[in-house]
Amino acid sequence: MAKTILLVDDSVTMLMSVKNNLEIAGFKVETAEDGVKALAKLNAGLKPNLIITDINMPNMGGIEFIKKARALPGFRFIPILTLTTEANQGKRDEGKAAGATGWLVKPVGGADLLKIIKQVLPGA
Amino acid sequence: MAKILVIDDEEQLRELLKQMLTRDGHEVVTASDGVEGMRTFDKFQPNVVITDIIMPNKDGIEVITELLCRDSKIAIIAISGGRRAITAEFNLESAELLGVKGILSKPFTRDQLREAVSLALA
Amino acid sequence: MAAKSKNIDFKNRAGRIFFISGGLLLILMICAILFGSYLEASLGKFKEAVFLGIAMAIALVSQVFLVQEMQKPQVLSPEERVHASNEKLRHVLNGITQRVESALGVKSSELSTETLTDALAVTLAKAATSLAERVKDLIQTLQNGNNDTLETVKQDLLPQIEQTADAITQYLNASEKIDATLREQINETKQLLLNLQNVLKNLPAQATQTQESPILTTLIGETYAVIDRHLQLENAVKEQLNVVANDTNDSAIQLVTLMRDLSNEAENLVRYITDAVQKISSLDSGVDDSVGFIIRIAHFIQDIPEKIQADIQSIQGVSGVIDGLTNLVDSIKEISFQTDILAVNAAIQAAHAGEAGLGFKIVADEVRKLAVNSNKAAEMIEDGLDAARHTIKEGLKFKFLEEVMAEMNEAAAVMESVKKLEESHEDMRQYYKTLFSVINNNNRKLAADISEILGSIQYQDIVRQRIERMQIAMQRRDELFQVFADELEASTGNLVDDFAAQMNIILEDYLEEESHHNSSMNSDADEDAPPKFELF
Repeated sequence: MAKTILLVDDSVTMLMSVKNNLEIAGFKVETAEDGVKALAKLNAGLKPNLIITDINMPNMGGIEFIKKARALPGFRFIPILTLTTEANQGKRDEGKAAGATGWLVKPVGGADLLKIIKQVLPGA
Repeated sequence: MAKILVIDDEEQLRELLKQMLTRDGHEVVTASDGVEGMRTFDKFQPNVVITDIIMPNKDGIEVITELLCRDSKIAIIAISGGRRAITAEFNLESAELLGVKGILSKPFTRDQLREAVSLALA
Repeated sequence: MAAKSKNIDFKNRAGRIFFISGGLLLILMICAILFGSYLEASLGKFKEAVFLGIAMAIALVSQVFLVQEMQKPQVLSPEERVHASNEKLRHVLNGITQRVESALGVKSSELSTETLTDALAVTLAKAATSLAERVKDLIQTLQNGNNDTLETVKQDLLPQIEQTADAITQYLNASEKIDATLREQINETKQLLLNLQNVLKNLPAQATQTQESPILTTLIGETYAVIDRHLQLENAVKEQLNVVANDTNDSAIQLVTLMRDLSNEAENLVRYITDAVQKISSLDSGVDDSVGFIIRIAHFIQDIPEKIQADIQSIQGVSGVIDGLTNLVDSIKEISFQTDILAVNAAIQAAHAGEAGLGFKIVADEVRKLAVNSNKAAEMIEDGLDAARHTIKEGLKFKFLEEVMAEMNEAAAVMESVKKLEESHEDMRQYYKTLFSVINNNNRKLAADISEILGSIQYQDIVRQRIERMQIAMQRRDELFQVFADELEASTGNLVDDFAAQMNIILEDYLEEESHHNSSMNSDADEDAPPKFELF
């Protein structure tokens, strides 16, 4: 069965390019434009195998979203990767503390992204 | 000089190629079909692979596809004479589309072989 | 309008004092520049107008002061002079404030070209995806062995690639447009600021000579510092702008390169398939020939039972005739046997008859001889019939064999054609295997290229964020200018003395924020940068 990935980013371009890449690779992809909408999807019963989120977003940013998602029942061990232009160590530490599994700095090429996903989603 | 693997089911041609290449100073190992060729490739780790296309067990197209899937930079020279309705041209064009570094239509001269090998090594 | 009334006002004074005409000339020049900037402002370049306005204000005011200081030091008291200068200042600043306000009102639309690249990047992503789907369809069609394959390729794939290439060209154009717009803005602003800086450089010295205008001195000093910081901010933004321009350029070039690769691959594929389709038809004719042979085999096999049937019937017919003849021989034998018995009896009767029966005995003996002879003949006929039956039987057999032999030759040809058919089939199999290896390989490469194109589109987001950060810094700068202008207008005399410091904060915030984000796409070699991918 195809694994589901939740993709959170406020940029339509990002959502389209990454979603298509993942779909071509055989994943099922759900998208949300910010942390609030992503949380709403999780609360509505979406149970992705992996979450990929941007950090700087309106309404609710990535760090807060990760914290809130981790607090939901059943989301303690689901891998959450960030995909952001934020590259500095301070933000990384914040992300790590919030519960992110890994930190990806944009841009990530199609093949590289799939390689990284294979690392955090064995058997994908 | 380079390590070269020659894969061809025709013993005469195989030996001739080996002679020619050895005389040019290359280290040459041969295999008589695709299956043996793949095994030898793993053991011998050659710089250049020269493979026939039409062979029993595993043909050259399969060998080329498998090798280039592993590493697109492997230098391969395809040689072919065609058989019946399958022309050498078709085989070699296919090999070229798969990404081989050189093609040689049978029969070929020693100079053509030399040129193909040096291009593949470049 | 404010500048104009100011000008008339000043002219009245100039009428009284003749030799300030030099100052008047300068002011006329300033008016000309101001009007020029006003024109520019109405054409959409507002920030420059703001700076120029401020500069003009300062230049005008200082000119007024200088003229007053030089010509009428004994007429007005210091209080009066300050009052008068404040009047002028207020007047000028009214105009400036209006300008600043209108400038601030419109400025946010100036960088809206980003929305253009946004839309284009979406188009690009759509085009690439649709391209991927076309390729998938193509492979599907090929695998289904549809004959319209080539048409599908020509009609769908290539226009799709062209469309994507168009989107990329538009993306590139938009990037260039952003780049050009921002560059132009910054260059013009910078030039104006430099001019202003030069003017200001000379003013403090002149102002301090008079020792009479503390507000002006503070204003000039502060403005000078603000402009200095502003130039630094402008430089920092410009530096990032170079990065932005390079990034959009590189990403567009990368996209174009990838598209060219895609296009080449698709072209190769089309050529290959064109040839392949031709070759398939030649293979087909080979198979057609073989099929002809097979049809002949079928007919031959179909005819065999009929032939055997006919042969069996003819054998049965001949056997019947032979059997009939055999019956006849039996009758002859029977007759000769009975004749023999009759002859023996006749001979006995003749012996009994004595001399009289002598003639009859000779006849009986002759009849007996005839019976024996006819029996012999019957046996000879029987042998002959047997031989004939045998011969016929063998002959039939032989004839059948001969026929079979002839058919066997045909069968050998048939065998040959069956072998040919097998070979054709083997060729076909080999041919299609190669064809699909190549097409699948091509598909894999296309998929990888498309995946990389989709990855490249991420630069659009990076660029967008970089522009957003610039906009934030510029917005803050504009707000600061607004405050600056407001306070100038109020001319309370206690102009905030930390404008430069505030400007510096904006600059530092901007640089700090910028350093948090990843460097340009070309700076992979940056060793100090944190890794692009890290698992916690």
